[in-house]
Formats: sequence, structure tokens, C-alpha cells
Amino acid sequence: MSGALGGDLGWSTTTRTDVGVVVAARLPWTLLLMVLGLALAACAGVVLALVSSLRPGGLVARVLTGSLWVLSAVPSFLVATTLMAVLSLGLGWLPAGGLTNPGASLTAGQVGRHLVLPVVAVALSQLPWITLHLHRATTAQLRTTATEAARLRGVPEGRVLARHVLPGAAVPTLAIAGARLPEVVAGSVLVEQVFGWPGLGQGLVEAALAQDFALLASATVLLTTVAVLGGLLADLALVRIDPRTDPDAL
Amino acid sequence: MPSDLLPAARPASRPTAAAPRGPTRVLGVVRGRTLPLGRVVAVGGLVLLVLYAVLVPVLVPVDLDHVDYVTGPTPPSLAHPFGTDLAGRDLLVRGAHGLRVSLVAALAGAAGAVVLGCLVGATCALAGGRADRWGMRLVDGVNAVPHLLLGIVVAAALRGSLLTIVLVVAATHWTQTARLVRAELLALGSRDFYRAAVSLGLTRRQVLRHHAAPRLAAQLAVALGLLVPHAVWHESTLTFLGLGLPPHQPSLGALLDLGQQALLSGAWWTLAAPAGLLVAVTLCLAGSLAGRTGDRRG
Repeated sequence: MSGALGGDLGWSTTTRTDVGVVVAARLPWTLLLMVLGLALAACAGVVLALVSSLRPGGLVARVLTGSLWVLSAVPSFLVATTLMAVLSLGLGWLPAGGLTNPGASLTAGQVGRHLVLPVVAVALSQLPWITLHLHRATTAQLRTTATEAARLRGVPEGRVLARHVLPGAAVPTLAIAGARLPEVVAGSVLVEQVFGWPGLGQGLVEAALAQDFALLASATVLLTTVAVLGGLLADLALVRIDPRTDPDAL
Repeated sequence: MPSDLLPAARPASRPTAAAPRGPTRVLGVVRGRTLPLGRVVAVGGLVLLVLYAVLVPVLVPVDLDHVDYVTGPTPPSLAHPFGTDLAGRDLLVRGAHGLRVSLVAALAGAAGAVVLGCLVGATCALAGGRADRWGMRLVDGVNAVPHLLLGIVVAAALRGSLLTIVLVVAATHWTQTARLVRAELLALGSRDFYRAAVSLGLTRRQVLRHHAAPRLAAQLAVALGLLVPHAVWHESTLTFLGLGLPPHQPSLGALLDLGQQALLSGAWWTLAAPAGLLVAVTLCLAGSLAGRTGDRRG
């Protein structure tokens, strides 16, 4: 424990190096995957939620929410394997796993091509809750007097959506995002494992399989820290959008 | 401290009041209750799945480990509706065995989590003071760690077996029940009928038995029901990662793991069969309970 606080994380028996070295090599790849995946899910979620809330109860909205409910019942490793089966093994469009082609050097183009499927898998497994919560919030927000007033003032529809509807709708979704981040971390662990993405999650699973407890402990603590810090970030963003949620202002 | 109670303290189980507004199609009216079509389908599907898991292993007694490389992987056909895996084993039978193992693990794990949560929550609420504070901080601590990571650590320490899965699910999911029980017991203290019971001179034991237990039982049943699909998911995930049940014991996770390996040789049905079962059982379990909790968010 005192060693860990001083920067010495111990000796990893499987990789035969310092745990610190292993973790430092793997953490950036995990963060890259998680941030890109969440960003993609958030963008797609905003678009889908707006599209479906323009006509709540319409065919588009019903089909969309229904299929998202089904998608939310599919574990992320199944999403990942299905994507791999169809897009990579079936159609051969994208590489099935790894960081680069075997033997290829680490270039942005290589990594970018290998990054697509894992990012889409992370995004797809997080899409349901983001979209469903946003959809409900935007539907409510579209009917508020503030939105009506903005429309009556002649504010263009795009601006109404971007300035009046979305910020208000984002508040409950962000509040839930803080609590959902542990699941995002767990989801990316599985996606990394399926695609052989050399991130911290894959390192965690390998360490667990090989009883490498020094690496296992560090990876668990670090991934938990990522989840907790992400939650903090979500809460800070929440206060910035909606000052009423500031606990210090009470 | 009251902010701790808010989410759990809302009355979650009002079965009759939960006539959902969402689905408009209604199948019929039974004993004054309307039955939404979705729930009927979900319950029916669940019954079918359980029958499948229980009956197929009984009706088709085959040696699960019997390997037939002459047959090899065959796509779904009349003889093998789900196809056979790389070792020529029938996936219909293996799927039933897998579903059975997964359901048993999930039920036991969820029950363990509810019992553990009950014990902690009741201790916190009844002991109060320092025990309460420490107990709730423990709950917060466990909640902060992603369930899967905690599960991986526990599974790595204990090595995979059915008991490990049950322990993992129980060890990571007791916190919601603990908060629920604590909140419910604390809320009870401000109720008129509770004060009346106390002023009538009932002992703590009598009050708990006659007033707290019935109210808690309904809540706990819902908590258990909501945990089961999640526990199925946990079993399959851990086994898929190679940390849960040993590979020769066919659970849904083990079948999925084999299916993913078989994908590279083009045998897509080895993944599709267990995947379909997993999604179907999750949806049916969740759908059967959806109206009960007022949890229809669509």
C-alpha cells in the first residue's frame, strides 16, 4: 500500500515488468476507446432523440424506442461479436481485431481502421439509455411554455432545438450519466476483450485468468477511478448547464 | 442523509395502480385488471423458455460431452433445429442445459443478494448511529466499483464454479436491497399506524413482524425479480471471459464463448442460438415485470 502510493505498483508476473509500465502502456488506449465511444453514442443519441420526439407516438418514435429497448437487453459482448461477425468476417470491410495489422507499424491510419468497430460497439451498447432518457426529456421540453414562447418570437426551429430544448433535456440525462459510467467501463472491458484491443480492460481479464494479482488490483483501482472521475465530471457539467443543481448554492 | 432515501423511498410496488399508459393494445380484462399485450407475450415466452430448459434435457437424454467429429458443424436443419457445434454436439440440447444452468445460477445469486442486502439494511436501520453510518459508507463504496470489475476480482480469487457465480452476483448486488430495506424501515418510523402500534405497547419484534415484514416482502419480491435478468447477464459475461463456469459445463456464457471461437470457421449458428436464448430470456424476464414497477420508460 505504501509502495503503491509512492508510485511502485508492484511486479506483474505475467508480463514480467513493472505494473506501472503495463498500466501506462494500456490506459491511453482504453481512454481513447471509451471517450470516442461515448462521444459517438451521445451524438447519435441527440439526433435520434430529436427525430423521435418531433412526433411522439408516431411510427418513427415507436419503432425507434422499441428497437432501443431490445438493444438494451443485448449484452455488449454480444453486440461486439455480432458486429465482428457481420462487418468484419462476413463482409470483410474492417479488420476483426487488434491495434494494427500483424507486423504493421503503429500509424494513425492503421489504428483508425482498427478503432472503428470497437468504438461502434461501445457506442451501440450505450446508445439505448442515452437516447431513451433524452427522448423523454426532449418530448417534455418541446411542450414547455418557454419553447412555445421562443417559437412565437419567431426564433428559427433549429435554434429553438439547440438553445431551448437540448440544454434543458440534457440535465436529467447527465444526472443519470454519472451513475451509468461504471457500466460504460464494464462495457468497454468486454469490447476490448472481444476485439483484442490492448487496453486496460483486456489487461484486467488476462491478469484475472493468470492470477496476476498485482496487475489485477492496479487495473481494477484505475478503472474504478476512471468511472468515479467521469461521474464527477458529469456532475460538474450538470451544475454548469443548470445552476439549480449546485449543491453548494443551497 | 435524506437525499440517500429519496430514490428508494418512493412507493415502487403498487401492482394494481400500475396499469401502464404506454401500450394502447389491451388483450383482455381479468379480475378487473387490464392485461397489456406486451406483458402477456413476455410471460408466455418466459414460461416457454423455462419449459424448454426443464423438459428438453429430460426428454432428450444424450451424453453432453459426446463428441462426433464426423458430423462436425452443421447448419440448422430438421434433425438439429439449432444446428450442431464444431464438435458435432446438438445445440438445441446444449442450449437447454445452458439455459438451465444460467437460470439456476441467476436465481440463486439474486436470492443471495436480496438476503444479504436485507441483513445489512435491517441492521443499519435498527442499530442506527455508527453502525448505520459505516454500513451506508460501505454501500457507497461497493456501488462506486463497477460490478463487472468487482466480479472479475472475486472470480479470479475463487476460481470458476457455479458457487463462485452465485457469490459474485450476491457480493456485487446486495447494495440496492440494503438501501431499499433501510429506507423502508426508516420511513416506517414516521407512519401513524407504527406510532399507534408502539403506543399500544407492542414490542419491537411484534411491530417488525406485523407491520414491517408484509410491506418489505412486496418490495423485496420486485427487487428479486429485477435482479434475475441482470444476474443471467453476469453469469454469461463472466463465463464468456473465461472466469465463470468451466467450459465443459454448458451455460449460456460458455456456449457464447465457443460460438465466438467458431465464428472464425463460419459457423454463425453456434453463436446465434445461445445469443438468441440469452436475449429472449432477458427480454421476457424484464417484460414480465415491466408494469409492476412503473418502470416503463419508453
